[in-house]
Amino acid sequence: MKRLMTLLTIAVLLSATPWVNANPGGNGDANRDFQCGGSCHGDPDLNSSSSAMFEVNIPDRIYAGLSAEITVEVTSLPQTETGIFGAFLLTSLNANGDIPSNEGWKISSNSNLGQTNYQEQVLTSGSELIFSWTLSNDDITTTDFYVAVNHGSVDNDLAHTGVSQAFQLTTIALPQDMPSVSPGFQPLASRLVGEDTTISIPTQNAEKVTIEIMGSQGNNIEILASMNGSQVWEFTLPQAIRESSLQWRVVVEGEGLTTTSAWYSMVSSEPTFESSSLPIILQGVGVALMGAAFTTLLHKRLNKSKAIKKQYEQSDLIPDETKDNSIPKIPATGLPEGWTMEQWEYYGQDYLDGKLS
Amino acid sequence: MLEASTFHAIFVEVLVGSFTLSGISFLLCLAFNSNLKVLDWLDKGAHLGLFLGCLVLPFAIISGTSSGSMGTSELLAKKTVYSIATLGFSIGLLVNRWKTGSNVIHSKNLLVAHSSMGILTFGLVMITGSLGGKLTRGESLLDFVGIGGAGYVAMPIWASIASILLALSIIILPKKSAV
Repeated sequence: MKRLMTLLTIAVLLSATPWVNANPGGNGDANRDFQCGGSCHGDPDLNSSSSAMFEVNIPDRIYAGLSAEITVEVTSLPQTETGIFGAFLLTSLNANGDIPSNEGWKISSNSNLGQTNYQEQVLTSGSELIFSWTLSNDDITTTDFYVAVNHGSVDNDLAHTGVSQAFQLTTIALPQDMPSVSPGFQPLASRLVGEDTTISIPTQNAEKVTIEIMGSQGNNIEILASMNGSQVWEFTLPQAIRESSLQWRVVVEGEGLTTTSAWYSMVSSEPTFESSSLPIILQGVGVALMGAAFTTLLHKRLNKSKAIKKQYEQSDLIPDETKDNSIPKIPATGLPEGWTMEQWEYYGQDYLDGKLS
Repeated sequence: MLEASTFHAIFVEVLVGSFTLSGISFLLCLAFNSNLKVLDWLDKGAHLGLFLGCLVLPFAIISGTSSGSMGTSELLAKKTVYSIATLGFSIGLLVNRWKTGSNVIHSKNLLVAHSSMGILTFGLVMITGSLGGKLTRGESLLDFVGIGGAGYVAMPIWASIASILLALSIIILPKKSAV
């Protein structure tokens, strides 16, 4: 009965493993190549095409070294059980080595205020989501891009994938006399709650620099940056009192021209866990050795009682007939198959009493 | 080029298989504790699984810590501690099985203690795997029982060193004779 219960428990535990495809709970924002989405959503037996339609908006001109924002409106999205939709910004559909950074593009912000090519959003109502990425490339180049969307469904467990048409981003050289943020400028993306933050912005041909902080309902807040050195401008963001995020951009004016940067993200967060590797490894080794020591002690103690019993065992000094009385009589058919004499000494009586199978 | 996370996935698959063989065998040792023939096979299966798991575990730890930063992730730090602890428990079990010999299956108390430690080791692997799932997918089966979440309690370095020295003294130093 005990064995049956054990086997039944194991069978229940094994069969309780949920049958699910991909990661229905999402996979988290990260830099991911399409291999990640493809391995879960690319199997033809488990995969289906998405009904998603893509409308990609890109700037008319992208200057080398300056940030540009790509916005992708994804429409005709179906309702799903979790409502989670994951979007990739990719430079190929080879499934590997297709992250924008592989082609020299740096993502400074996305619509989740992160810096990753893969982001997830939850569709709560309607059938449309907007994903955006702000990115730059220091070189003059042309790159093909794709946006891919992965999601689940309501009526079955299939994983769905949709991929946009290819679109090109071409960077051109920044004109010598154009007022702008210096090429290669990468803004600070995060800070701690409760700290004022001073940001320096290197520029070229700038006579006036204004910072616009995105406000609610399009009411942007403007801060005038002060010059601190040759073509270096500074402004201070007041401290955040709780975890929050904001988007800001730079308006550079000079010689009758005005340029506006892409939106940058700034996340304010509470101090997170920070430690060097050494204490963690030492703690692991400490716990591991304590575990090994505990196991050793346990075995010594339990084995010692048996050893002491053997040490004071005087049965070999007792005449044979007495010894025979302490050892169960061996059946006429001999020892049970596979048994040794030592096992018979310990368990022979149980065998004769029918307690063993 | 293969990334550390891909290697980690490969090692973890082998590791979980090995420890599952070991864990289920130890569990069955408790159920079939009076059948010596079955116990002999289960004992072999349990320790073979444990041995294979021990071989792969260091590679899984190295590839796992290379694919993320344990200094800034509580989950990864906790996962590292659990996996190193699993290695310690496993080696402890293997060495003591080797030193104790077949007494492990002949003495019922020893069998229960040894198998329980084996099941505990399998439990550590389950929790470590659950933390990995939490790290990559944001969810884990063990969330249902309140295990596998964040919240890493760091031990001070002096406490870690003290526990290492204490454990080594128990393992290495010979006991004084009472005679």
